[in-house]
This record gives sequence, structure tokens and C-alpha cells, in this order.
Amino acid sequence: MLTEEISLNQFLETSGIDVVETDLGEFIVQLSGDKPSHIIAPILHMTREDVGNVFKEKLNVPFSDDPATLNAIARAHMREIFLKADMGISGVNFGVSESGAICLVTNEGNGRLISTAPRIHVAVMGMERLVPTLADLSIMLQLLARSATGQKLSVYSNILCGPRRKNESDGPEELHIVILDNGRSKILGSTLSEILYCIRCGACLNACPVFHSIGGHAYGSVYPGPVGSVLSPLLFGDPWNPLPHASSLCGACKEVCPVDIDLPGLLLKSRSQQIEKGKSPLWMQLSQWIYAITSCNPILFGLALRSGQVVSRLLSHDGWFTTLPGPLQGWSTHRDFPALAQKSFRQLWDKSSQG
Amino acid sequence: MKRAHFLQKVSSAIGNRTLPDQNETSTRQNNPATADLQTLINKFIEEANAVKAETHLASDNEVALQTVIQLLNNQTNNKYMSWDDSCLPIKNLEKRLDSANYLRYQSTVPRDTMERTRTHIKLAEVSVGITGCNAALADTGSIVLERKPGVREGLVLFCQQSISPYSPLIKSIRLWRAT
Repeated sequence: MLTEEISLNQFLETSGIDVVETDLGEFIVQLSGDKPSHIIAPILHMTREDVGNVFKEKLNVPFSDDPATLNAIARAHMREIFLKADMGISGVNFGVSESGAICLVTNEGNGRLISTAPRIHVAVMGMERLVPTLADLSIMLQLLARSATGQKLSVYSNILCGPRRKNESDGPEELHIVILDNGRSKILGSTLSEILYCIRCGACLNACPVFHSIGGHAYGSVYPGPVGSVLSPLLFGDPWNPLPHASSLCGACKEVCPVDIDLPGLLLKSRSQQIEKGKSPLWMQLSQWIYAITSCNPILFGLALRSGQVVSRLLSHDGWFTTLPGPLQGWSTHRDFPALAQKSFRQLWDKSSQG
Repeated sequence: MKRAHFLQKVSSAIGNRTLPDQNETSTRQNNPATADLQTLINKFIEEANAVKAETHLASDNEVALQTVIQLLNNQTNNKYMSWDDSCLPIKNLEKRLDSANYLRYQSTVPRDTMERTRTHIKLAEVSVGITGCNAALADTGSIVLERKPGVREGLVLFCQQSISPYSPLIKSIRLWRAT
């Protein structure tokens, strides 16, 4: 995620360097020119048929939708690249302050390959990923695996303490650890600093009803879901300000968070800070004002409802809008939007009371 | 937030208020020396099998050798790589496999860039790797491999056979750091 946060791949590619993703999901995303839709499962939005078609088109292999066959194809393709690559670039799940060790957690073994096969290993670590001791790491490894994938421990937990030493059989000749701030130290001093405890397990995404309804792409950020709604405006600035508003504040994210981040509280703080700083867009302020007036007046509310039903009938197809106009466009870029019901609850209630 | 406060939150979130203290030595109490070793073995096998690893109990050196040979017989070629004999918990493995016509690939990777790539490509022909393990974690069915002279941990193979003596069997990852 971190290399995506700083668009490292695109930068390296424009510098003429071949970059190949090694996580299977990320590899498929790269092949298809797509973007990840989930922190842990980047191709959550794709079917196995979609993956088969991508492989057929990009790797010139016969179509298959059998997961084992698709895995074998990816394995054969990537293995050759692993063995010839001169540099491996990875993220870091945790860094251990007491020993200077870094920890890579994977289920596919790509972390183990990338950190040993190439001559140089570059690890990019967010500065918030540090834990004080190995004992703390052992707790975090269990939390991460349990909350991310429901495992007791991930398949590969690699703890790396420097490059290859004298008399060792393998390992990288050079290990470079890039500790990335990118706005994190500013968050550390703010009232939203709790978001830096996030271990990127994705549990809040899995529990979020908004994420379920709109998918990860609709957030438009590297970090989707509740955690992304708090983090994205802090890391990437004003264009992501609407994200904290994309929440029902149901609290499901807080319930499942393994490090007990108060995400609904942070979303509320983020919203109020935007309002205080006057960062809420004019169309949003205007629409909220109109909604407030309309919803307080039964006649206006009824009129608005009937107008909405007429518009829905005229412009929707089979009960769905495929595109929405103006500032609402973002909601229909990746998902259709449901049309207004032709009979409101009040109309149905009145009818059933009469009948 | 202070570390203690954070750990308190984590502890509360996982419903366990007995997180390990790095300065506390009592966490060693569940090491095999004092814990029921058979219980740990049973738990380890149960957990390892749950994540699709196959476990084989070997009563002595000869049975362990036969088990490895049997597993190699199931593969499509006769190539393997392994940790140095001195780092493995069974004796005479290389000699026995040599006499059974198994070909051990030299797994030390040269430091020269071109030679390094050539070696990696050659090693990719191997589908079986034989390692020991520095510790085994019963709670999760995991094994711990440490990179040091005589052992390698780089390549992820189709088949990895890890040979573990009972001695490093530990209850959980929390206790591993205390050993």
C-alpha cells in the first residue's frame, strides 16, 4: 500500500525501469491496468473469470477460470522474474525498534523471495509501523493475521535483520530501509493521531456497510473504507475531504478494529474540523441546508419525494441510475445507483391502513 | 498515547489482560522442559495439519531418514537442496541420499550479480528443500527458520520438508521470543 501511496511504481516506470508486482492480487491489478479495491484483497471486485480473461489477454495463455491453474500460471510467470530481478522493493508490516529488524507478513511467500533472491532489497516503511520490542511484534502478528484473514498466524512472517552476512548462504547484498513520513508526523501531533495505530488489517472495510454498498474503488483513494476516510484527507489533502462524510457512523468499524481505534469518533472529528476550517464544499453546504429545510416541512418533503419519483421513473433503467449528474457523479462511476422507490413507505402505510 | 496505554487497549480488545512483559522471565514457564511435551506435539500436529502441512513423527534417526527418502520418492525429479548436514537434526542425510542417487544442489548463492542469477535459475529446477527448524510453535503449527551460516531460507519451493527435533517445541509465538 505504501508504494502505491507515493506512486512509486508509476515513477519507476516513467524512469524506464520494469516494475512487476509480486503479490498475486496486485500482479493481476497491474496486468489489467486496474486499481486495488481492498487493502488485503486487491481484486475483491474481480471474478475468477475476469482473472482468466486478463491472463489470456496479457500473458497469452489459454483461458481458465480454475483458481489452481491460474495460480500455477502466475507462479511460473513470476518465478522467472523473481530469479532475474536485481532489486526487490517491499513494504514493511512492522519495524522493531530494539533490534532494527523489519517484519514482512505474506501468505504467498513473495516477501521471502523478494527479500532474498534479488541482490538489493529496498523496504519502504511508514514511520508509524514501529513497535518497541519483539514481544510487542509477537502480539501484533497475531492481531494482524486474525483480523486480516482469520488465520492464527500468516503463512510467512519474515523478520529481517540486515543484509547477507559473511558465511551466510543467501540473502541480499544490500538492504535499504526507507522510513516514510509523508505527513504522518503532522498527524502525530493532531487530535486524529489515533489513526496511526492502524495495522492495515482491513477488518473495518469488511464490516463497513458503506464499503459493502459502494466498493473500494468509489473511495478513489489508495486507502478505502473507514480507515481510508480518516487517513486520506490527512495524507493527500483537500480533494479527499468528502470521504469522512461517507459514513453512517454505525460503529461496526470500531467493534472489529483489533487495536480499538475509535473510527466513528475520528470521522466525526474530521468532519467538524473541516467545517471549522470552512473546507466543506459549497454544494455540500447548500444541499445540507436545502435538506434541512425540506425534511422539517411535511409538505415540502412530500413534494420533493414525488419529484424524485418522477425523475427516477424517467431517467432510471430497471430501477437503477447508471450515471448521476454533477457532484453526485462520483457515486455512479463504479457502481449503479438505486432509483427512488415508486411508492414511499408513507404511501404504502396509508394504503395498507385503508385496505 | 503511551505504550502502556496502547497495550492496555490491545489487551482489552483481545479479551486477554496477561500480555507478556518483556522484562518478565516467567513467560518461560511453558517451555518444553516444564510443559507437557506430548500435549504440545499433539497441538502442533493438529494445527499444522489444519493449514495443510503434512507431519510425520519419526522415532529415531533411521526412521527420519526413511521418511525423507520416501517423500523424495514421491517427487518427479531427483534433485533437492538442503541445509548443511551439520545444521540438520538427523545424521548422514547427504550420504544416504547420495547413495540413493539423489542429487544435492549446492545452495550457496554467489555474490557476483551474474553468477547469482545463474545460480537462482539453476536452483529453480529443484522442487524439494530440506531444512531443520529453529523452533516450532504449537499454537499455530508454525516453524521458525533462522538464516545463519549453513542454512538458507530464500527460495519458496513446491515442497519443503522441515525436520524438527522435539527440543525447540514452544507453545506460542509470544513465548518464542523468550527462548
